[in-house]
Amino acid sequence: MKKIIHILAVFTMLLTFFLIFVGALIKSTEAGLSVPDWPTTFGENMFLFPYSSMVGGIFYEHSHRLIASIVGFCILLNTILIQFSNFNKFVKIISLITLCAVITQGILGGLTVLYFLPAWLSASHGTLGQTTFCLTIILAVITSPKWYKNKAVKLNSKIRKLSFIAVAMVWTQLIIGAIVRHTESALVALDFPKINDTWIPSFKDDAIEKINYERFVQSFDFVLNLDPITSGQLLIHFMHRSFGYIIFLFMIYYCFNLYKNKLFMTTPIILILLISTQIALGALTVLSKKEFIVTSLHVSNGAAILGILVYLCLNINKSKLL
Amino acid sequence: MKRLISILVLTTLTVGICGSISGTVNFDGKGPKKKKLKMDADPVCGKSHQTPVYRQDFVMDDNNNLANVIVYLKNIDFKGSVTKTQVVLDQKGCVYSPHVMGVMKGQEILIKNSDATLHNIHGLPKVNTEFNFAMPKVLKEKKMTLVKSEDAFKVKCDVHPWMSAYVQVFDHPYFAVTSNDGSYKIDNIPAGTYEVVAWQEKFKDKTVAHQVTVADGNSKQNFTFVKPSKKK
Ligand SMILES: [Cu+2]
Repeated sequence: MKKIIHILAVFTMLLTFFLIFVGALIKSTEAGLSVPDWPTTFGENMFLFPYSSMVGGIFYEHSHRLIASIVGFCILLNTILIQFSNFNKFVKIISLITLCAVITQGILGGLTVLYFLPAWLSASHGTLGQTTFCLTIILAVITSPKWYKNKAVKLNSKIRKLSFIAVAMVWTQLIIGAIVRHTESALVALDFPKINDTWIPSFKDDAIEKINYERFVQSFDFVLNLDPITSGQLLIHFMHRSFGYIIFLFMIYYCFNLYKNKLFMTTPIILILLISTQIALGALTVLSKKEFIVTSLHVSNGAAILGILVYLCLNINKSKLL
Repeated sequence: MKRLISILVLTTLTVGICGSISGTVNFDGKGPKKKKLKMDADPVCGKSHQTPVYRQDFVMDDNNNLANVIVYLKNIDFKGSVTKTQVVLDQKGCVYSPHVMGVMKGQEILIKNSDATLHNIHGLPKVNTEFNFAMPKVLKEKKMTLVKSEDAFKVKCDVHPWMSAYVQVFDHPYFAVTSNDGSYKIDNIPAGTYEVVAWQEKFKDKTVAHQVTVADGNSKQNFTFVKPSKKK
Protein backbone atom coordinates (compact mmCIF):
# COMPACT_ATOMS: atom_id res chain seq x y z
CA MET A 1 0.00 0.00 0.00
CA LYS A 2 2.72 2.46 1.02
CA LYS A 3 4.68 1.57 -2.08
CA ILE A 4 1.70 2.23 -4.35
CA ILE A 5 1.12 5.58 -2.68
CA HIS A 6 4.75 6.56 -3.20
CA ILE A 7 4.78 5.51 -6.86
CA LEU A 8 1.54 7.40 -7.44
CA ALA A 9 2.99 10.45 -5.70
CA VAL A 10 6.10 10.43 -7.88
CA PHE A 11 3.99 9.95 -11.01
CA THR A 12 1.72 12.85 -9.98
CA MET A 13 4.76 15.05 -9.40
CA LEU A 14 6.19 14.34 -12.87
CA LEU A 15 2.81 14.79 -14.55
CA THR A 16 2.27 18.08 -12.71
CA PHE A 17 5.60 19.32 -14.01
CA PHE A 18 4.56 18.44 -17.54
CA LEU A 19 1.21 20.12 -16.91
CA ILE A 20 3.03 23.35 -16.02
CA PHE A 21 4.89 23.20 -19.33
CA VAL A 22 1.66 22.69 -21.30
CA GLY A 23 0.01 25.47 -19.31
CA ALA A 24 2.94 27.73 -20.19
CA LEU A 25 2.46 26.86 -23.87
CA ILE A 26 -1.11 28.18 -23.69
CA LYS A 27 -0.02 31.65 -22.66
CA SER A 28 2.94 31.56 -25.04
CA THR A 29 0.63 30.81 -27.98
CA GLU A 30 -2.13 33.10 -26.62
CA ALA A 31 -4.52 30.18 -26.82
CA GLY A 32 -6.16 30.69 -23.42
CA LEU A 33 -9.52 31.65 -24.84
CA SER A 34 -9.57 29.36 -27.86
CA VAL A 35 -12.11 27.24 -26.01
CA PRO A 36 -14.64 29.85 -24.88
CA ASP A 37 -16.63 27.57 -22.59
CA TRP A 38 -15.77 25.70 -19.39
CA PRO A 39 -16.06 22.96 -18.16
CA THR A 40 -17.49 21.96 -21.55
CA THR A 41 -15.42 22.22 -24.76
CA PHE A 42 -17.27 23.85 -27.66
CA GLY A 43 -20.48 22.70 -26.01
CA GLU A 44 -19.36 19.08 -25.78
CA ASN A 45 -18.29 16.95 -22.85
CA MET A 46 -14.56 17.62 -22.56
CA PHE A 47 -13.65 13.94 -22.52
CA LEU A 48 -15.58 13.28 -25.73
CA PHE A 49 -14.20 16.21 -27.73
CA PRO A 50 -12.67 14.67 -30.88
CA TYR A 51 -8.90 14.79 -31.36
CA SER A 52 -9.38 15.91 -34.99
CA SER A 53 -10.97 19.13 -33.74
CA MET A 54 -8.00 19.97 -31.53
CA VAL A 55 -6.59 22.40 -34.10
CA GLY A 56 -4.52 25.55 -33.56
CA GLY A 57 -4.85 27.01 -30.07
CA ILE A 58 -7.42 24.39 -29.03
CA PHE A 59 -4.65 21.77 -29.04
CA TYR A 60 -2.81 23.47 -26.17
CA GLU A 61 -5.85 24.59 -24.21
CA HIS A 62 -7.72 21.30 -24.45
CA SER A 63 -4.62 19.15 -23.76
CA HIS A 64 -4.03 21.25 -20.64
CA ARG A 65 -7.58 20.61 -19.46
CA LEU A 66 -7.29 16.86 -20.10
CA ILE A 67 -3.90 16.46 -18.38
CA ALA A 68 -5.13 18.64 -15.50
CA SER A 69 -8.08 16.26 -15.04
CA ILE A 70 -5.68 13.33 -14.79
CA VAL A 71 -3.49 15.19 -12.27
CA GLY A 72 -6.60 16.11 -10.28
CA PHE A 73 -7.76 12.52 -10.31
CA CYS A 74 -4.34 11.19 -9.22
CA ILE A 75 -4.20 13.63 -6.32
CA LEU A 76 -7.75 12.79 -5.25
CA LEU A 77 -7.03 9.06 -5.38
CA ASN A 78 -3.76 9.39 -3.49
CA THR A 79 -5.32 11.60 -0.82
CA ILE A 80 -7.96 8.93 -0.19
CA LEU A 81 -5.32 6.17 -0.10
CA ILE A 82 -3.13 8.16 2.28
CA GLN A 83 -6.00 8.79 4.70
CA PHE A 84 -6.51 5.03 5.02
CA SER A 85 -2.80 4.22 5.26
CA ASN A 86 -0.62 4.20 8.34
CA PHE A 87 1.40 7.21 7.22
CA ASN A 88 1.86 9.81 9.94
CA LYS A 89 -0.28 12.89 10.45
CA PHE A 90 2.11 15.18 8.56
CA VAL A 91 1.72 13.15 5.34
CA LYS A 92 -2.04 13.08 5.77
CA ILE A 93 -2.25 16.84 6.25
CA ILE A 94 0.03 17.60 3.28
CA SER A 95 -2.06 15.34 1.05
CA LEU A 96 -5.25 17.13 2.10
CA ILE A 97 -3.65 20.53 1.44
CA THR A 98 -2.54 19.31 -2.00
CA LEU A 99 -6.09 18.20 -2.77
CA CYS A 100 -7.49 21.59 -1.75
CA ALA A 101 -4.83 23.34 -3.84
CA VAL A 102 -5.55 21.32 -6.97
CA ILE A 103 -9.31 21.81 -6.67
CA THR A 104 -8.86 25.57 -6.21
CA GLN A 105 -6.45 25.57 -9.12
CA GLY A 106 -9.00 23.83 -11.37
CA ILE A 107 -11.68 26.35 -10.48
CA LEU A 108 -9.24 29.26 -11.01
CA GLY A 109 -8.44 27.83 -14.44
CA GLY A 110 -12.11 27.75 -15.34
CA LEU A 111 -12.61 31.29 -14.07
CA THR A 112 -9.72 32.62 -16.18
CA VAL A 113 -11.64 31.40 -19.25
CA LEU A 114 -15.05 32.67 -18.14
CA TYR A 115 -13.70 36.09 -17.14
CA PHE A 116 -11.47 36.53 -20.24
CA LEU A 117 -8.09 36.16 -18.53
CA PRO A 118 -7.79 39.20 -16.27
CA ALA A 119 -4.09 39.55 -15.39
CA TRP A 120 -4.50 39.04 -11.63
CA LEU A 121 -6.54 35.85 -12.14
CA SER A 122 -4.17 34.36 -14.72
CA ALA A 123 -1.15 35.24 -12.56
CA SER A 124 -2.81 33.59 -9.54
CA HIS A 125 -3.50 30.50 -11.64
CA GLY A 126 0.17 30.38 -12.65
CA THR A 127 1.40 30.88 -9.09
CA LEU A 128 -0.95 28.37 -7.49
CA GLY A 129 -0.06 25.87 -10.22
CA GLN A 130 3.61 25.94 -9.28
CA THR A 131 2.76 25.93 -5.58
CA THR A 132 0.71 22.78 -6.14
CA PHE A 133 3.72 21.33 -7.94
CA CYS A 134 5.83 22.02 -4.82
CA LEU A 135 3.24 20.21 -2.71
CA THR A 136 3.40 17.16 -5.01
CA ILE A 137 7.20 17.18 -4.55
CA ILE A 138 6.84 17.27 -0.77
CA LEU A 139 4.39 14.39 -0.96
CA ALA A 140 6.68 12.37 -3.22
CA VAL A 141 9.56 12.88 -0.77
CA ILE A 142 7.73 12.18 2.47
CA THR A 143 6.03 9.03 1.17
CA SER A 144 9.39 7.60 0.15
CA PRO A 145 10.80 4.68 2.16
CA LYS A 146 14.23 6.39 2.00
CA TRP A 147 12.82 9.37 3.88
CA TYR A 148 12.20 7.18 6.93
CA LYS A 149 15.18 4.90 6.55
CA ASN A 150 17.93 7.54 6.39
CA LYS A 151 18.67 9.28 9.59
CA ALA A 152 18.19 13.01 9.81
CA VAL A 153 21.34 15.03 10.35
CA LYS A 154 21.15 17.84 12.84
CA LEU A 155 22.10 21.02 11.04
CA ASN A 156 22.90 24.48 12.23
CA SER A 157 20.22 27.10 12.15
CA LYS A 158 22.02 29.22 9.54
CA ILE A 159 21.73 26.67 6.77
CA ARG A 160 18.13 26.00 7.76
CA LYS A 161 17.35 29.70 7.51
CA LEU A 162 19.09 29.92 4.15
CA SER A 163 17.03 27.03 2.81
CA PHE A 164 13.80 28.82 3.66
CA ILE A 165 14.98 32.16 2.29
CA ALA A 166 15.92 30.44 -0.98
CA VAL A 167 12.40 29.03 -1.40
CA ALA A 168 10.81 32.34 -0.45
CA MET A 169 12.96 34.29 -2.91
CA VAL A 170 12.23 32.06 -5.88
CA TRP A 171 8.54 31.86 -4.98
CA THR A 172 8.43 35.68 -4.93
CA GLN A 173 10.22 35.76 -8.28
CA LEU A 174 7.59 33.33 -9.59
CA ILE A 175 4.85 35.78 -8.64
CA ILE A 176 6.72 38.69 -10.23
CA GLY A 177 7.28 36.56 -13.33
CA ALA A 178 3.60 35.64 -13.52
CA ILE A 179 2.72 39.35 -13.34
CA VAL A 180 5.23 40.17 -16.10
CA ARG A 181 3.71 37.46 -18.22
CA HIS A 182 0.05 38.34 -17.75
CA THR A 183 0.42 42.12 -17.92
CA GLU A 184 2.26 41.74 -21.25
CA SER A 185 5.42 43.23 -19.77
CA ALA A 186 7.94 40.79 -21.23
CA LEU A 187 8.63 42.83 -24.35
CA VAL A 188 8.68 46.35 -22.89
CA ALA A 189 12.35 46.22 -23.86
CA LEU A 190 13.75 44.21 -26.74
CA ASP A 191 17.36 44.26 -25.59
CA PHE A 192 19.42 42.36 -23.02
CA PRO A 193 21.25 42.92 -20.67
CA LYS A 194 20.42 46.62 -21.11
CA ILE A 195 16.81 47.76 -20.89
CA ASN A 196 15.89 50.06 -23.77
CA ASP A 197 19.55 50.99 -24.02
CA THR A 198 19.95 51.92 -20.35
CA TRP A 199 21.01 49.96 -17.28
CA ILE A 200 18.45 51.51 -15.00
CA PRO A 201 15.34 52.66 -16.84
CA SER A 202 13.63 55.97 -16.12
CA PHE A 203 9.94 55.72 -15.29
CA LYS A 204 9.19 59.38 -16.00
CA ASP A 205 6.49 60.28 -18.52
CA ASP A 206 8.86 61.74 -21.09
CA ALA A 207 11.10 58.67 -21.00
CA ILE A 208 8.09 56.37 -21.53
CA GLU A 209 6.86 58.62 -24.32
CA LYS A 210 10.25 58.40 -26.00
CA ILE A 211 10.23 54.58 -25.78
CA ASN A 212 6.71 54.46 -27.17
CA TYR A 213 7.62 56.64 -30.13
CA GLU A 214 10.58 54.37 -30.81
CA ARG A 215 8.28 51.34 -30.71
CA PHE A 216 5.82 53.03 -33.05
CA VAL A 217 8.61 53.64 -35.57
CA GLN A 218 9.86 50.07 -35.18
CA SER A 219 6.42 48.62 -35.89
CA PHE A 220 6.91 49.71 -39.52
CA ASP A 221 10.08 47.64 -39.82
CA PHE A 222 8.97 44.67 -37.80
CA VAL A 223 6.24 42.25 -38.45
CA LEU A 224 5.52 42.40 -34.78
CA ASN A 225 3.13 45.08 -33.60
CA LEU A 226 4.67 46.69 -30.57
CA ASP A 227 2.01 48.11 -28.32
CA PRO A 228 2.77 51.22 -26.29
CA ILE A 229 4.02 50.51 -22.78
CA THR A 230 3.25 52.00 -19.37
CA SER A 231 5.66 52.80 -16.54
CA GLY A 232 4.00 50.05 -14.47
CA GLN A 233 4.90 47.46 -17.08
CA LEU A 234 8.46 48.72 -17.25
CA LEU A 235 8.76 48.63 -13.46
CA ILE A 236 7.59 45.02 -13.09
CA HIS A 237 9.89 43.98 -15.95
CA PHE A 238 12.84 45.74 -14.29
CA MET A 239 12.01 44.11 -10.95
CA HIS A 240 11.92 40.64 -12.51
CA ARG A 241 15.31 41.09 -14.16
CA SER A 242 17.02 42.68 -11.14
CA PHE A 243 15.65 40.16 -8.68
CA GLY A 244 16.84 37.39 -11.00
CA TYR A 245 20.44 38.61 -10.61
CA ILE A 246 20.05 38.93 -6.84
CA ILE A 247 18.75 35.36 -6.68
CA PHE A 248 21.71 34.16 -8.74
CA LEU A 249 24.16 35.73 -6.29
CA PHE A 250 22.26 34.43 -3.30
CA MET A 251 22.22 30.90 -4.71
CA ILE A 252 25.99 30.90 -5.10
CA TYR A 253 26.26 31.83 -1.43
CA TYR A 254 23.68 29.17 -0.48
CA CYS A 255 25.41 26.42 -2.47
CA PHE A 256 28.78 27.45 -1.02
CA ASN A 257 27.29 26.91 2.45
CA LEU A 258 25.90 23.53 1.45
CA TYR A 259 29.39 22.47 0.36
CA LYS A 260 30.95 23.78 3.53
CA ASN A 261 28.59 21.55 5.50
CA LYS A 262 29.37 18.67 3.13
CA LEU A 263 25.74 18.34 2.18
CA PHE A 264 24.19 17.31 -1.14
CA MET A 265 27.14 17.26 -3.47
CA THR A 266 25.29 17.07 -6.80
CA THR A 267 22.08 19.01 -6.12
CA PRO A 268 23.87 22.38 -5.73
CA ILE A 269 25.63 21.88 -9.06
CA ILE A 270 22.30 21.14 -10.74
CA LEU A 271 20.83 24.17 -9.01
CA ILE A 272 23.52 26.56 -10.25
CA LEU A 273 23.26 25.10 -13.75
CA LEU A 274 19.50 25.51 -13.80
CA ILE A 275 19.68 29.09 -12.55
CA SER A 276 22.27 30.01 -15.18
CA THR A 277 20.03 28.39 -17.79
CA GLN A 278 17.09 30.32 -16.39
CA ILE A 279 18.85 33.67 -16.86
CA ALA A 280 19.82 32.66 -20.39
CA LEU A 281 16.23 31.60 -21.15
CA GLY A 282 14.95 34.89 -19.75
CA ALA A 283 17.35 36.80 -22.00
CA LEU A 284 16.35 34.65 -24.97
CA THR A 285 12.66 35.25 -24.26
CA VAL A 286 13.30 38.96 -24.79
CA LEU A 287 15.76 38.61 -27.67
CA SER A 288 13.61 36.10 -29.57
CA LYS A 289 10.59 38.34 -29.02
CA LYS A 290 8.81 35.66 -27.00
CA GLU A 291 9.43 32.60 -29.14
CA PHE A 292 6.81 30.29 -27.67
CA ILE A 293 9.01 27.29 -26.83
CA VAL A 294 11.73 29.45 -25.26
CA THR A 295 9.17 31.33 -23.17
CA SER A 296 7.51 28.11 -22.00
CA LEU A 297 10.88 26.60 -21.10
CA HIS A 298 11.64 29.71 -19.03
CA VAL A 299 8.44 29.07 -17.07
CA SER A 300 8.98 25.34 -16.54
CA ASN A 301 12.69 25.70 -15.76
CA GLY A 302 11.64 28.22 -13.10
CA ALA A 303 9.30 25.59 -11.69
CA ALA A 304 12.15 23.07 -11.65
CA ILE A 305 14.34 25.50 -9.66
CA LEU A 306 11.58 26.12 -7.16
CA GLY A 307 11.05 22.36 -6.91
CA ILE A 308 14.71 21.65 -6.19
CA LEU A 309 14.79 24.35 -3.53
CA VAL A 310 11.72 22.87 -1.87
CA TYR A 311 13.39 19.46 -1.98
CA LEU A 312 16.55 20.86 -0.38
CA CYS A 313 14.60 22.77 2.23
CA LEU A 314 12.66 19.64 3.13
CA ASN A 315 15.81 17.57 3.56
CA ILE A 316 17.67 20.24 5.48
CA ASN A 317 14.81 20.56 7.94
CA LYS A 318 14.21 16.83 8.17
CA SER A 319 15.22 16.57 11.83
CA LYS A 320 12.42 18.99 12.75
CA LEU A 321 9.84 17.08 10.74
CA LEU A 322 10.48 13.52 11.79
CA MET B 1 -52.85 72.12 -54.28
CA LYS B 2 -51.95 74.61 -51.56
CA ARG B 3 -51.77 71.73 -49.08
CA LEU B 4 -49.49 69.76 -51.35
CA ILE B 5 -47.08 72.68 -51.70
CA SER B 6 -46.96 73.24 -47.96
CA ILE B 7 -46.20 69.56 -47.38
CA LEU B 8 -43.41 69.71 -49.95
CA VAL B 9 -41.91 72.83 -48.36
CA LEU B 10 -42.12 71.29 -44.92
CA THR B 11 -40.38 68.12 -46.07
CA THR B 12 -37.55 70.08 -47.65
CA LEU B 13 -37.09 72.07 -44.47
CA THR B 14 -36.99 69.08 -42.15
CA VAL B 15 -34.74 67.02 -44.40
CA GLY B 16 -32.49 70.00 -45.03
CA ILE B 17 -29.63 70.14 -47.47
CA CYS B 18 -27.43 67.06 -47.55
CA GLY B 19 -24.08 66.45 -49.14
CA SER B 20 -21.36 63.84 -49.23
CA ILE B 21 -17.63 63.62 -48.56
CA SER B 22 -15.34 61.44 -50.63
CA GLY B 23 -11.66 61.06 -51.28
CA THR B 24 -8.73 58.70 -50.94
CA VAL B 25 -6.37 57.76 -48.11
CA ASN B 26 -2.72 57.23 -48.88
CA PHE B 27 0.62 56.62 -47.23
CA ASP B 28 3.70 58.80 -47.47
CA GLY B 29 6.77 56.64 -47.27
CA LYS B 30 7.94 53.10 -47.85
CA GLY B 31 5.48 50.60 -46.43
CA PRO B 32 6.46 47.68 -44.23
CA LYS B 33 7.31 44.39 -45.92
CA LYS B 34 4.37 42.19 -46.82
CA LYS B 35 4.32 39.14 -44.63
CA LYS B 36 2.61 35.88 -45.46
CA LEU B 37 0.28 34.35 -42.91
CA LYS B 38 1.29 30.85 -41.85
CA MET B 39 -1.82 28.78 -41.49
CA ASP B 40 -0.37 25.30 -40.98
CA ALA B 41 -1.68 25.07 -37.42
CA ASP B 42 -5.03 24.07 -38.90
CA PRO B 43 -5.01 21.98 -42.11
CA VAL B 44 -8.49 23.24 -43.04
CA CYS B 45 -7.23 26.84 -43.11
CA GLY B 46 -4.14 26.13 -45.20
CA LYS B 47 -6.11 24.12 -47.75
CA SER B 48 -8.70 26.82 -48.30
CA HIS B 49 -6.25 29.13 -50.07
CA GLN B 50 -4.58 28.62 -53.43
CA THR B 51 -2.63 31.89 -53.30
CA PRO B 52 -0.69 33.21 -50.31
CA VAL B 53 -2.57 35.34 -47.81
CA TYR B 54 -0.79 38.37 -46.40
CA ARG B 55 -1.09 40.20 -43.10
CA GLN B 56 -3.88 42.73 -43.25
CA ASP B 57 -2.77 45.31 -40.71
CA PHE B 58 -1.29 47.44 -43.48
CA VAL B 59 -2.85 46.98 -46.91
CA MET B 60 -1.43 49.34 -49.54
CA ASP B 61 -1.65 49.21 -53.33
CA ASP B 62 1.15 50.12 -55.80
CA ASN B 63 0.09 53.77 -55.73
CA ASN B 64 0.44 53.97 -51.92
CA ASN B 65 -3.34 53.96 -51.38
CA LEU B 66 -4.36 52.48 -48.06
CA ALA B 67 -7.23 50.06 -47.66
CA ASN B 68 -8.98 49.25 -44.37
CA VAL B 69 -8.92 52.83 -43.08
CA ILE B 70 -11.99 54.00 -41.18
CA VAL B 71 -13.02 57.55 -42.12
CA TYR B 72 -15.65 59.10 -39.90
CA LEU B 73 -17.25 62.29 -38.70
CA LYS B 74 -16.45 63.28 -35.16
CA ASN B 75 -18.76 64.92 -32.63
CA ILE B 76 -21.90 64.88 -34.72
CA ASP B 77 -25.27 64.90 -33.04
CA PHE B 78 -27.41 62.32 -34.81
CA LYS B 79 -31.11 62.09 -33.97
CA GLY B 80 -32.15 59.52 -36.58
CA SER B 81 -32.74 55.84 -36.12
CA VAL B 82 -30.30 52.95 -36.27
CA THR B 83 -29.52 51.53 -39.70
CA LYS B 84 -31.74 48.53 -40.34
CA THR B 85 -29.30 46.74 -42.61
CA GLN B 86 -27.28 43.96 -41.12
CA VAL B 87 -23.48 44.09 -41.25
CA VAL B 88 -21.75 40.81 -41.89
CA LEU B 89 -18.49 39.67 -40.32
CA ASP B 90 -17.50 36.48 -42.06
CA GLN B 91 -14.86 33.95 -40.99
CA LYS B 92 -13.79 32.58 -44.33
CA GLY B 93 -10.57 30.75 -45.10
CA CYS B 94 -9.55 31.50 -41.52
CA VAL B 95 -9.43 35.25 -42.08
CA TYR B 96 -12.03 37.84 -41.19
CA SER B 97 -13.91 39.51 -43.97
CA PRO B 98 -14.00 42.45 -43.73
CA HIS B 99 -10.81 43.04 -41.76
CA VAL B 100 -11.99 46.47 -40.61
CA MET B 101 -15.56 47.60 -40.20
CA GLY B 102 -17.76 50.25 -38.66
CA VAL B 103 -21.18 49.66 -37.17
CA MET B 104 -23.79 51.80 -35.50
CA LYS B 105 -24.57 51.06 -31.90
CA GLY B 106 -27.56 48.76 -31.82
CA GLN B 107 -27.07 47.72 -35.44
CA GLU B 108 -27.34 44.00 -35.98
CA ILE B 109 -24.07 42.20 -36.72
CA LEU B 110 -24.27 38.80 -38.35
CA ILE B 111 -21.19 36.70 -37.58
CA LYS B 112 -20.76 33.87 -40.05
CA ASN B 113 -18.55 30.81 -40.04
CA SER B 114 -18.04 29.80 -43.65
CA ASP B 115 -15.24 27.39 -42.76
CA ALA B 116 -15.23 23.65 -42.20
CA THR B 117 -13.34 24.24 -38.96
CA LEU B 118 -14.14 25.79 -35.61
CA HIS B 119 -13.42 29.31 -34.48
CA ASN B 120 -13.92 31.33 -31.36
CA ILE B 121 -14.82 34.94 -31.88
CA HIS B 122 -13.31 37.04 -29.15
CA GLY B 123 -13.90 40.79 -29.01
CA LEU B 124 -11.74 43.03 -26.83
CA PRO B 125 -13.79 46.22 -26.51
CA LYS B 126 -13.05 48.66 -23.72
CA VAL B 127 -16.44 50.34 -23.47
CA ASN B 128 -18.79 47.54 -24.51
CA THR B 129 -18.62 44.22 -22.65
CA GLU B 130 -15.93 41.78 -23.71
CA PHE B 131 -17.31 38.73 -25.55
CA ASN B 132 -16.08 35.30 -26.61
CA PHE B 133 -18.33 32.91 -28.50
CA ALA B 134 -17.67 29.39 -29.67
CA MET B 135 -18.32 28.90 -33.37
CA PRO B 136 -18.17 25.13 -33.84
CA LYS B 137 -18.36 23.67 -37.35
CA VAL B 138 -22.11 23.21 -36.95
CA LEU B 139 -22.85 26.77 -35.81
CA LYS B 140 -22.76 28.78 -39.01
CA GLU B 141 -24.31 32.05 -37.86
CA LYS B 142 -24.56 34.14 -34.76
CA LYS B 143 -26.21 37.53 -34.32
CA MET B 144 -25.08 40.25 -31.95
CA THR B 145 -25.24 43.98 -31.34
CA LEU B 146 -22.89 46.42 -29.66
CA VAL B 147 -24.78 48.88 -27.51
CA LYS B 148 -22.25 51.63 -26.84
CA SER B 149 -20.19 53.71 -29.24
CA GLU B 150 -16.45 53.27 -28.95
CA ASP B 151 -13.15 53.57 -30.81
CA ALA B 152 -11.86 50.73 -32.96
CA PHE B 153 -11.21 47.58 -30.94
CA LYS B 154 -9.72 44.24 -31.82
CA VAL B 155 -11.65 41.08 -32.55
CA LYS B 156 -9.60 37.90 -32.66
CA CYS B 157 -9.69 34.16 -32.86
CA ASP B 158 -7.62 32.34 -30.26
CA VAL B 159 -7.76 29.08 -32.19
CA HIS B 160 -6.03 30.71 -35.17
CA PRO B 161 -3.70 33.35 -33.73
CA TRP B 162 -3.24 35.14 -37.08
CA MET B 163 -6.96 35.99 -37.30
CA SER B 164 -7.81 39.55 -36.31
CA ALA B 165 -10.33 42.22 -37.23
CA TYR B 166 -11.16 45.71 -35.99
CA VAL B 167 -14.60 47.10 -35.25
CA GLN B 168 -15.53 50.68 -34.44
CA VAL B 169 -18.96 51.49 -33.02
CA PHE B 170 -20.62 54.83 -33.87
CA ASP B 171 -23.67 56.69 -32.58
CA HIS B 172 -24.30 58.01 -36.13
CA PRO B 173 -24.18 56.58 -39.66
CA TYR B 174 -21.48 58.92 -41.04
CA PHE B 175 -18.51 56.60 -41.52
CA ALA B 176 -16.90 54.52 -44.25
CA VAL B 177 -14.00 52.10 -44.66
CA THR B 178 -11.60 52.61 -47.57
CA SER B 179 -11.64 49.99 -50.30
CA ASN B 180 -8.56 48.48 -51.94
CA ASP B 181 -7.89 51.62 -54.00
CA GLY B 182 -7.95 53.74 -50.84
CA SER B 183 -11.21 55.46 -51.71
CA TYR B 184 -14.15 56.17 -49.45
CA LYS B 185 -17.46 58.01 -49.62
CA ILE B 186 -19.78 59.13 -46.85
CA ASP B 187 -23.29 60.05 -47.99
CA ASN B 188 -26.30 62.03 -46.73
CA ILE B 189 -24.39 64.31 -44.38
CA PRO B 190 -26.39 67.34 -43.23
CA ALA B 191 -24.79 70.61 -44.37
CA GLY B 192 -22.24 71.98 -41.91
CA THR B 193 -18.58 71.94 -40.97
CA TYR B 194 -17.19 68.79 -39.43
CA GLU B 195 -14.02 67.27 -38.13
CA VAL B 196 -13.37 64.21 -40.29
CA VAL B 197 -11.03 61.59 -38.87
CA ALA B 198 -9.12 58.74 -40.52
CA TRP B 199 -8.03 55.71 -38.42
CA GLN B 200 -5.50 53.12 -39.51
CA GLU B 201 -4.61 49.95 -37.60
CA LYS B 202 -0.84 50.47 -37.35
CA PHE B 203 -1.23 54.16 -36.50
CA LYS B 204 -3.84 53.35 -33.83
CA ASP B 205 -4.72 56.53 -31.91
CA LYS B 206 -2.39 58.59 -34.12
CA THR B 207 -5.30 59.44 -36.39
CA VAL B 208 -5.30 62.03 -39.19
CA ALA B 209 -8.05 64.69 -39.10
CA HIS B 210 -9.28 67.52 -41.32
CA GLN B 211 -12.02 70.16 -41.14
CA VAL B 212 -14.50 69.64 -43.96
CA THR B 213 -17.45 71.82 -44.92
CA VAL B 214 -20.39 69.97 -46.38
CA ALA B 215 -22.91 71.75 -48.59
CA ASP B 216 -25.13 70.55 -51.40
CA GLY B 217 -23.13 68.14 -53.53
CA ASN B 218 -19.83 66.41 -52.88
CA SER B 219 -16.88 67.69 -50.88
CA LYS B 220 -13.46 66.22 -51.56
CA GLN B 221 -11.07 65.37 -48.77
CA ASN B 222 -7.97 63.20 -49.00
CA PHE B 223 -5.96 61.90 -46.05
CA THR B 224 -2.26 61.12 -45.82
CA PHE B 225 -0.59 58.97 -43.18
CA VAL B 226 3.09 59.84 -42.93
CA LYS B 227 5.64 57.19 -42.09
CA PRO B 228 7.20 58.14 -38.76
CA SER B 229 10.89 59.03 -38.93
CA LYS B 230 13.54 57.59 -36.62
CA LYS B 231 14.43 60.93 -35.03
CA LYS B 232 11.70 62.85 -33.33
CU1 LIG C 1 -10.35 30.88 -36.14
